[in-house]
Amino acid sequence: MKRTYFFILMFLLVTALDILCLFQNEQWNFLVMYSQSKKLVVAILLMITAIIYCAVMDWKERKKPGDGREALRDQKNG
Amino acid sequence: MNLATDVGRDAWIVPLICTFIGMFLFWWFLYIIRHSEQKTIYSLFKQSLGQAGGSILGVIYITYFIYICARDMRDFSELITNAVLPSVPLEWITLCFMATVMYVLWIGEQNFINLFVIFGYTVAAIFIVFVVLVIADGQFDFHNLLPIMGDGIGPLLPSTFTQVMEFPFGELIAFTAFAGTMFPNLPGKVVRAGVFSVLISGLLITLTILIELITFGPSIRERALFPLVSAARNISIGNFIERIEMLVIFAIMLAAIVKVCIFAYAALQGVVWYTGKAYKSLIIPYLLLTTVISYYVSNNMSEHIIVGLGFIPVFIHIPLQFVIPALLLILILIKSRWRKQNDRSIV
Amino acid sequence: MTGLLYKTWEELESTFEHSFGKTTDFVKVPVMFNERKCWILYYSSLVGSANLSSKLMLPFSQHAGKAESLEQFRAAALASINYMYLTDWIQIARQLNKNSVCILVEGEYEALSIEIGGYTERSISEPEIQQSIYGPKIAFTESIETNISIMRRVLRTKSLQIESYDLSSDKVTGAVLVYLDDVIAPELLQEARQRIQRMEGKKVATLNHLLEGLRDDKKANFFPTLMINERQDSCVAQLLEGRAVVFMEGSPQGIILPAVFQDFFKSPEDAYVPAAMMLFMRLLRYCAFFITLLLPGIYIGVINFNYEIIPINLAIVIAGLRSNLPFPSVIELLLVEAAFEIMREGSVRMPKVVGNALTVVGALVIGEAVVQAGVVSIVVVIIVALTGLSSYAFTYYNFAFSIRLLRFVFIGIASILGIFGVFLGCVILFAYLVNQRSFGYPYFQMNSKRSLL
Repeated sequence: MKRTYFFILMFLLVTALDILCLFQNEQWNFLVMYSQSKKLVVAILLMITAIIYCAVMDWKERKKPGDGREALRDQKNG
Repeated sequence: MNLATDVGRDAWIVPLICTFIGMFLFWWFLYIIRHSEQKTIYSLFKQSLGQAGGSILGVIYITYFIYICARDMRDFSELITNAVLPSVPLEWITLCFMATVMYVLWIGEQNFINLFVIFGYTVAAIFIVFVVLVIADGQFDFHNLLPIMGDGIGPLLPSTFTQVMEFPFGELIAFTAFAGTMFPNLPGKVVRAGVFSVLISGLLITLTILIELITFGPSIRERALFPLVSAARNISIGNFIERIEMLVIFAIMLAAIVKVCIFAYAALQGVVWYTGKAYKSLIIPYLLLTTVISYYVSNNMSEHIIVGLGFIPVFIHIPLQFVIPALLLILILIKSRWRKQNDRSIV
Repeated sequence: MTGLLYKTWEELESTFEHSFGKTTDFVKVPVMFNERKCWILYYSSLVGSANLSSKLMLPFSQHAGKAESLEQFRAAALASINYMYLTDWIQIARQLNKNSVCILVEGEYEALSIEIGGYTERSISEPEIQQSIYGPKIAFTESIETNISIMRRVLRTKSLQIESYDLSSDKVTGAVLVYLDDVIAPELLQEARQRIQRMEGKKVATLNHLLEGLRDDKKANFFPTLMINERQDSCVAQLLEGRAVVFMEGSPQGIILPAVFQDFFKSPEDAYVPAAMMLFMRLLRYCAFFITLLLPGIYIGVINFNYEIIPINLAIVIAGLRSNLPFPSVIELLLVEAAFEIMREGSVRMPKVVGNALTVVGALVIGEAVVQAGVVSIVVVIIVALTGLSSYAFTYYNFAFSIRLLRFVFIGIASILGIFGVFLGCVILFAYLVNQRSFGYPYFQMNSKRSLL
């Protein structure tokens, strides 16, 4: 599930950076923007698609273990 | 898009200065990654800061690349909603643009580099046509540029160091994520070609701003959202060749695709480095993430510009583009000297 | 199978029936060969009677009485004919199917097969699909031998190499690979050999099967990655550039491999006109390519989303013409396009005499009546006519076909996203082209150097 977890981590980090930038610029209304209904629906749909895609790819890989190259990479990165 | 507006008629000098700094910057970035084992910036982090510190810094850089990619996507989508398709919602435009970018990334780096070469020729052709038409149109005034640097070089400096140096030139840092894997060992030929292309693109930016200035003058240029498009829109030759802004927008779109692809590719290379998954399986989720972020980078165009040219260069670009690479450079120099001394002492 | 051809001479008759069936064009003639019994076997449909009597029967009647053995007879009487000694029935059947005659003599356990040929063939004619004003008026025919002879008549050099392959499940449908061994890249030759050999034992009835087998991408692709050519001069030019040509028995065209995007904009005529003219013509063809592909899409995009980019006077004219039309512009354009495509398809199938009439009727109906009735605007007719004309500017029919298809995709995108959609479509199209490969060569690359990736 490495791919999915890393993706969620990246999602959180990029969102944090985005909010930080808006916040620093004294855009106190960023919460209002984040709750605009049309945008929110599209964004949630896209994120769900992305996470499901990640999970499916991970699940597919889990079915055929023993990919030597990946194991090597994992070892290298600890 | 609208660079260095605060210096008025001297706006074109700023990118000219920055071009030469940018050439040095690019050489510097490539110099740094030549000293890492795997020739990417991610391996360099690990090498110099160890496993944990390197990973944290690498993840920060991936975040940064995705965020910048999202900003560029937003830039371009705003241009399309403003100038071409006012009736279509921004979300749809970004989605369609992203689908194109996904396909371009999916065909693999060897192929999209070839594609970008074709784009380069196309953009060059359109630019030449544009310049010729501007000259033929004759509605320009070189007096808009005078006096050149009337107030001395002082007023130019803030915008040089807090905007233009970071915004197009410092972003070359993205190349450090994949240049080393694309051209193994980075021979001198590649570095020279890279520095030369930075020079060419810097001169192109200068020329663009010059055209904007001589057709509009500094005050209108400052207020226009997309001055280049407006300049193209103003051209009218014999009531027949009119409104060639579509050509210019096409060229801008090609450039935007290249830029978004390069940032996305840099980020994806990082993800590949840390997760070890296949590159093609990562394209869809990460570009969808980029799209979502590009919806939320700002409320509207003006806010987008304020954030993009005010806060981001100073607090995000400078640390990630200059401070960290400079620290890495110092680290590399110290290490190599230390190693040399070690070698000598062993001998 | 190394057993003897026959054990006793008498059982041969049943063996024939066993191996060749009861087909009526199989001829077996019992004759006497120097007082020994002898069979002459051939397919009457593959061996011409004139050739048979002059090449075989006449020498046979003169020499057969004197010869001690089959080899002696062959050396004396059939010295100038290709021959082969065969020892098993499968090979005999194969040789018989390749226009040969087999002779079996009592007491000798090898069959002599000699190539006679001589069935009726179409003679060499002028090229019909790829016409050109200049250049040789020679097109390939259905026979491989004729085609090779056509090639060698121009390339009289020892480096012109020809490799024969037996394709298809019965291993009889022949194909040849023609190349110049001092020019061709060894990797390309290797790849070509491998791919043709891969086709052995598969169903190869038409040139299209062979094309599909030779192609890089097995999935459907929009643009032809191999070139079909029926002209002698362009094939020779391609050979000299280091490419290979494949001919197949029964199809009057050669397949040139590899073929890249730019090749489809070259015409055989280019070699006969001044360089400036050639450049102009080529530029014209590129323009035609973009007009065919993009013009209807751009029209839809401009009419639906970006009225303002057309010059004001023209915009007023177009708006006036479109003011009281019943359909939306996309439907209108698709109607006329459909009518045009049907007309084009119809005129291909029509006999030549009626074809002219069809064009006239089509032009009248589409051009006049529809506009006057106010169903479609005349601007749309102009757009479609221009697009249609441009699609005829290509020298290669199957290339024009793929663009005709893609045009509808562009109309679809433009009706949703306007000109922006057309732009994105262009980018995707070029990305697709860059991604294609023809025998490992990149299909679309700006610099003409062709590095094997």
